Amino acid sequence: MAKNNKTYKNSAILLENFKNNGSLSIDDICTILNCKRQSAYNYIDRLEKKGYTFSKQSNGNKTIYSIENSADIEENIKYQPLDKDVIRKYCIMQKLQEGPVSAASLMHKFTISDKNDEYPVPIDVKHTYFTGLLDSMLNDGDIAIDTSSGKYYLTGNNIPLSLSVDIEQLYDLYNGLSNITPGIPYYKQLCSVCQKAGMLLGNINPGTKSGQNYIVYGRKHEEFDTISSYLSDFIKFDYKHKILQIEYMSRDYGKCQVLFATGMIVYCLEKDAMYVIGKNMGGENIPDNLPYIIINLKNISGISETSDANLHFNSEYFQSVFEYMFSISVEKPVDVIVDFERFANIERKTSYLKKQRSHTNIIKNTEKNYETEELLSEAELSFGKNTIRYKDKISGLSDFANYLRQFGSSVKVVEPQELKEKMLFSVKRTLERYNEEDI
Amino acid sequence: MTEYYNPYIRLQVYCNFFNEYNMYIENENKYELGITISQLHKITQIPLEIIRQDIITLFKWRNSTEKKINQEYGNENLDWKARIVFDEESIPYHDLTRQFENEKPGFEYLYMQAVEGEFPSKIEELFMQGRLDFIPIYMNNTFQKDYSIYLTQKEAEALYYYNLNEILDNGNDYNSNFKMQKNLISISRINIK
Repeated sequence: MAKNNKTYKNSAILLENFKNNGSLSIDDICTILNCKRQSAYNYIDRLEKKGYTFSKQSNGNKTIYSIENSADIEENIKYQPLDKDVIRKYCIMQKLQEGPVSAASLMHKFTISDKNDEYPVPIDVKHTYFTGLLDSMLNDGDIAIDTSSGKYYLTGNNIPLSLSVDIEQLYDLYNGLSNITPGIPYYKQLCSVCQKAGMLLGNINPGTKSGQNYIVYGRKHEEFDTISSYLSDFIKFDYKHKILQIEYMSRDYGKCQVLFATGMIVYCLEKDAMYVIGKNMGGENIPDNLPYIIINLKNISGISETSDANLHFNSEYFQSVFEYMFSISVEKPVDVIVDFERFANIERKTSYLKKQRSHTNIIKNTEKNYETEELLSEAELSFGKNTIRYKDKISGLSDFANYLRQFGSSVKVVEPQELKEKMLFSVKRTLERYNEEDI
Repeated sequence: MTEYYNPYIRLQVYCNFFNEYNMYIENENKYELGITISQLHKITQIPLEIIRQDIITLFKWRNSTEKKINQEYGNENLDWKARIVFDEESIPYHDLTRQFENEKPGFEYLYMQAVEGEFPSKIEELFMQGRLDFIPIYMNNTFQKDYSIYLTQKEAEALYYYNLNEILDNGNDYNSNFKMQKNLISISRINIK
């Protein structure tokens, strides 16, 4: 650890001397760093590996070195190296991020054991080196020991404190902090946290100078103010109590006009769109046998209010549809059973899904036994080893099929047949594309 | 962005973008895994040389960790967290393996060695020459929860003030770390007096 630090400091000294003097010989380097000739060559070698380009000129029996890409030096020299000890300390920091821990249990947290469902990040060094890392973090003030409990905790001095969140919490944080008003305590700091959260969500303000440098990573969400303008056009009408006549562009039927009894207004995060779902009371270009309709507010071109009463707003039917819908749908909910291969990341994804759903049951068939929250019959427990069986009631099988496709061959639909066919169709279609002859 | 001079912050930022959660691109009907060195440079403006060097270190760390696991647990294929990998299904990866078709050793062999064998200096060269800048890199699941946001002392204090744990309702015992930190600060102030 100390050796790496010394190397970094000497490299910085050497670069500073190249910057001030323009060129240096090996003898000069030996004098500056008080080292042997071989070490001087090693330092040149290290700097070359870091991307510096040297030009060499002979002066008598001496070789004079100068750096060609010197414009980059001033900037690059400021970046402290990321070495293996930084990664190891980062691993320790991540564990302490969960809360203060004693030395013994800290080491244990890096031990791979069969009892763990997910294997931790292992430490690639021996116990004595590990305790050396802790001592070094203590000496540098990165961590401290609480005298009453004897536990280590983070100080946030050199290694910054971090806030770990999942995707939902990241959205909560961003949305919560986006609405703060100037004048409240810590306004500037909260804005800064909001900006950092926004960067992870791909919400970069292109108006800022640095905005030009970003690429948008991930789905770019439409700003809420755009969506709210569609919504404000809609809520001008008494949609809760009156049937509306709506003109809109349908994906399946083209331009339509419909007498519409609004059931609910729904914002769908995955599609980043605001929808109204409701009952079809008759119209042009819309089949009569289509009892319920979904309209994207963005696709509405005209609305007028009728004198007929709307008896469907927030009705029991729409509440039930909302409870079972996957993404956006007005289909009748159906029972689904899906088997996933039991890998750590799949287990996590299915448990996230469970959190978002109200009527889900997950059964894990481990090597040894079944883990389930419900009492189930033997027949219900007869499925493959190392499998996660996911049971739910879902309205919107197409969107659910889209979700399942990300798992590739690790997922198998058990029922219903309709969902099986949807999965099979996309696989067959993909295979057909590969069998097409290139023109 | 001066905070990127701190290697811990760089590492945290890389891990956020190396997240294994892949992004579905609707128009192309495909999933993108991880991020490339070139994209990281565009997003963060960290010099390419620095990012390449950092990624080399992450691969070297994976290499020594794999060796330690093999030594202690045999050749079990353990699914340990935070293994850095190239997206071998990506087009740039295939392009590079094709470029090495007539060379010995080939790229796939070099990559395998970089992961579990004697770390080849040729791989370092390829990184530093920028030939691996366009291959997506990801971690099989990162060190951290999903996303990690680094905080300055003042930002941490702001979130503590608004009792963030209640807002997020998670197992992340952020406040207890901070309470300890506050105690330490007040103790050190008393000592100074």
